[in-house]
Parts: sequence; structure tokens; C-alpha cells
Amino acid sequence: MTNPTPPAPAPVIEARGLTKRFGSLRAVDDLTFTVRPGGVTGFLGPNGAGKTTTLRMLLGLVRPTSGTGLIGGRTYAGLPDPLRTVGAALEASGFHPGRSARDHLRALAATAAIPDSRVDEVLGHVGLHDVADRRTLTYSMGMRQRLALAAALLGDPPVLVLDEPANGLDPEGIAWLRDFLRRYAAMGRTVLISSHVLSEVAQTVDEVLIIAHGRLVRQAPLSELTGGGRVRVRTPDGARLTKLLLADGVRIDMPSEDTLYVTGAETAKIGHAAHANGIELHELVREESDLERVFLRLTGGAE
Amino acid sequence: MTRLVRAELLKLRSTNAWWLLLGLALAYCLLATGAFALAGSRGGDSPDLHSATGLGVVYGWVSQAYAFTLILGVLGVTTEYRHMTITATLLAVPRRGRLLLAKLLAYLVAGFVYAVVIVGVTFGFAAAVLSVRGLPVTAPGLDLPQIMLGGVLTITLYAPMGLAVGALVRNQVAAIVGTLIYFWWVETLLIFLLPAVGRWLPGGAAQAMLHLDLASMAGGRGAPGGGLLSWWAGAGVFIGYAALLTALGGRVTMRRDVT
Repeated sequence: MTNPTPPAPAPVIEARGLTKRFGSLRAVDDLTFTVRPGGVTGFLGPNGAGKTTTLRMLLGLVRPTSGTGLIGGRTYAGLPDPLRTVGAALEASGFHPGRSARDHLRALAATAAIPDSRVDEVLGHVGLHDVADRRTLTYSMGMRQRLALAAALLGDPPVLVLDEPANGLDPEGIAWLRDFLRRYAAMGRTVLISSHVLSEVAQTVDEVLIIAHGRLVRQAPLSELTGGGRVRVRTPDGARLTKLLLADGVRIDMPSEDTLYVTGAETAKIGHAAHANGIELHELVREESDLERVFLRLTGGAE
Repeated sequence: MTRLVRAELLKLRSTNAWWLLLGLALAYCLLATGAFALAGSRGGDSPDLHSATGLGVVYGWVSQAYAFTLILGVLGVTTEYRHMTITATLLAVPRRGRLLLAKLLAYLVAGFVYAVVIVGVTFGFAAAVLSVRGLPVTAPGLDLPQIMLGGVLTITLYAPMGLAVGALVRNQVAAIVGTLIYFWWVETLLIFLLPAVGRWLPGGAAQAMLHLDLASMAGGRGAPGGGLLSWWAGAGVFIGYAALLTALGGRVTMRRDVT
């Protein structure tokens, strides 16, 4: 994995006005966003928000009513070497129950002249090596997820698109996946994963893309969405402390005489400033905003 | 394109369907051929196996194995939708026209392998049964190489024909039942009762390739050899149907969303 020469920057995923109507239903409505390399982007929304349809449009499986999906500036069908450019694992994609995992991968690999040794490699990667010759009929949900991921990794692609990858994985599998995706993105690659549970991916993603009813609700770094955690300070000397703390990047709200909400400064820094200036503190607490509540508010409630 | 064809053949080989269908086809042909070869020339109403007509039925029956390559072809597309492997397939080969072309070529190859095995085994078996009975294995006026060639062509070409049907009708059960009813009954009846129409249908054209007018042999209206198209016309019409269906199936497949 260590590469002495820096690779070309990974392609960007772009949706430009993507729209899909099924009859009168607007499953995806004028969606425009960009997914950049070097981080994990979470594509979030409640079930039925249009995530899967959007991913399928980006991957050329569903024809948009209008708009385009581009990967590195090309449509998926226009990619010269799709398996080596984009690795995708989608929900509702399946395996022939009578075919072994190895044969499933070998057939895909053959289309791009990927050697069988690479098939062994990815099977080992996802931990299916020992069961690779079993028919997929015998596979559990978690094993299917791993096989789908193995297929996505075949071409060692700079772009990874995974639809609900944590579904069916045990906690150990989820931890492994999180670690794997973090490292994948750290190599400067583009990773887009969808989920309908924000808390499930909160520890994995750097950036979130939230949709509801087929429309983009918010695209922002995760830290911005969660407010970065503000610090609540109670002190009889609020005005003086405010003056001391106010610097670049620090924001202070003072809803009442003795309470400050400080954004952009850590508790240690605030405590130190207070101590050094003899300011009495009654409370110094870091407040995390509840991710799931933020998510539900943004998407207009659970469905 | 070679890679894509190889990938399709690998998919075909990696499940049980191909040898199950081949086994069924062989069993069907050997049973039928054996029955004809054993039952003929027994006096009474039994067909005369010294005649070109009688032996024509014994050998010509092999072409009925087309039903199995037809099913093989139908499965080539419908199985992908049934198990949703089509998603992975299209992610690897997003240009659908290329995918369909690769499948067509792969199924031509597979159909040919089937055809050679089925025709070879069946002809060998028929000749063996006839020899054991002390009957001649051929008759004057019977063009065995022609029947063999026609049989191989028919069995081979029905595989891509099935593929095209599968591309049009994704539902596996509907596609299989529908094509079997059509090719086995509707078309056979039409060829038998209305040879003027029937000879222009795929089945009639296939019989022309066999150079074997089964309908008139069985007592249909067409005069022997006269009810069917010429060999070349038959082959042309048959390939025309396969091409037309493929083009139609391709058009439909290209536009269809995969969800």
C-alpha cells in the first residue's frame, strides 16, 4: 500500500441536477452535490429518501429523468475501465445461489482482465478466504456484505461507493469496516457510503450529505453539523471572561447573566484563562449535540 | 470483447444449469431416437426404417433438442434478473450493447458445444441401435450430413434466440413457459396446418435447414420437401428472426432501469 510516487488525485463524484420521476413521484429531485477525495462522505437520509436511486443513477443503472451523474468528469458508462475506477456495492444486488463466491468474483474480474490472484487477495481481505468455494446459497447476510465489498475492491479503484455497507455486519465487522474505510480515504481516495442511521456512520464519515424526500437538505463537514460541541460555562463574572476569551474563531453566546456558551475553545483553555485571571467558575461542561436528533430534525422526522 | 465472452462462459460453467440442461437434452434425444429406432420396421403401421422418410424421423428428431438450448439462452438473461446479479454485471460492463453482444457470442459458442455433443451422441446411438437390430443405418435419398448440419445449426442458433427472448421478457418463468408453448405447440401446429405461413416462422425455417419436412412426413398438407423454404432461405429467415429479436431485446434492455 505504500507508494513512493504520489498517485494522481482520485476522481470526484458529481451529481448535477439529478432528477428521477417514477410516474408522479419525484424519487430524486434536482440533486446537486460533489464528493471529494481524501475523506469519507456519508450519504444519509431516512429509508425511501432516494439514496439508492441516486447511487444507481450515478452508476448508470438507472436513467435519470434529467440531470447527470459524473465520476471524474465522465458518465459511468463512459468510463474506459469501470472496475479499476469505481468499486461499488449496492443493496439489492445479488449472487447466484448456486455459484461460489470465487467464481462470482472470477467472472467479474475476467471482464477487466484482473488476474485470479487478485480474486484470492480480495477474498482474504474481507475474510472470506476459507469459504470462497462454497455456494453463496449458504452465506449469511454478513458474508454477502463482505462478498459485495470484495467485488467492489477487485480493481483496487480510487473511488468507492457503498450502499448501506454496515447492514448485516456484526459489531466486529462494523469496526473493521470503519477502520478500513478510514484508511482507504486516507490514501487520498474518494469514498461515498450511504446509510439511514447517522449514528452508525458518525464515527466513519468526515462529511455528510443529507437528503430527504429526494432533495438535498444539507452538505457539510460532520463537525459543523454536530456544532463541534460547545462548552457551557457558568460564572458570576461572565462579562470579564467573555472579554478574555474573545479571539479569532471563538464565539460566545450569553443567554443569561451567569451562563456562557463557548464555541471554538476547549474546556482546558477556558479553565486556564479563568484560573489565571482569578475568575470564579461554577460549571465548565462540554456539550455534545445529539447526532440522531440533528439528523431527524434535518430530515423532517423519522419515517 | 474476448474477455467479456470469456466472463460470460465462466458464469455459465459455474452453476449447475448447463450440465442439467445438457443431461436432459441427451436423455430426451436418446429416449425418442431409441424409441423410433426400436419401434420401426416391425410390420403393421410401424414406419419403414429402410426408407428415407422412416430414417429421417429417427435422425431428424435430434433437432427437437433445440428446446434445451432455447431454455439455456433464456436463462442467460433472466437468471441475472432473478438473482439480481445483473447489478454486478452492469457495474463491470456498463455499456449494455457490448454486454448483450458478448452474451450472444458466448451463447453461440455454448449452443454449438451443446449441438455437437447432442447430435454426435444421438446419431451414434441411433446408428448403434439400428446396427444391433441388423437394419441399415442409412437409406437411399437420405442426406445424413445435411440432417447433421441442419441439426447442429438449429440447436446452436436457438441459444441466442432464447437469449433475445430473455432480454425482452425478464420474468424467468414467463419467458420459459411462453417460448416453449410458442415454439413447441403454436408454431408446430401452424407449420402442420398452415405450411404457407408456417414455413416463414422460425420453426419452419429451422426445418428447412434440416432439409427435413417433418410435417409432411407426418401426413401434413405440404408435399414432401415442397412445403418448406430452400436451405439457404431457411437459414436466412432463421438468422433474420434471431437478429430481429436480439435487436428488439437489446433496445428494451438498453433503456430499462435496473433497480
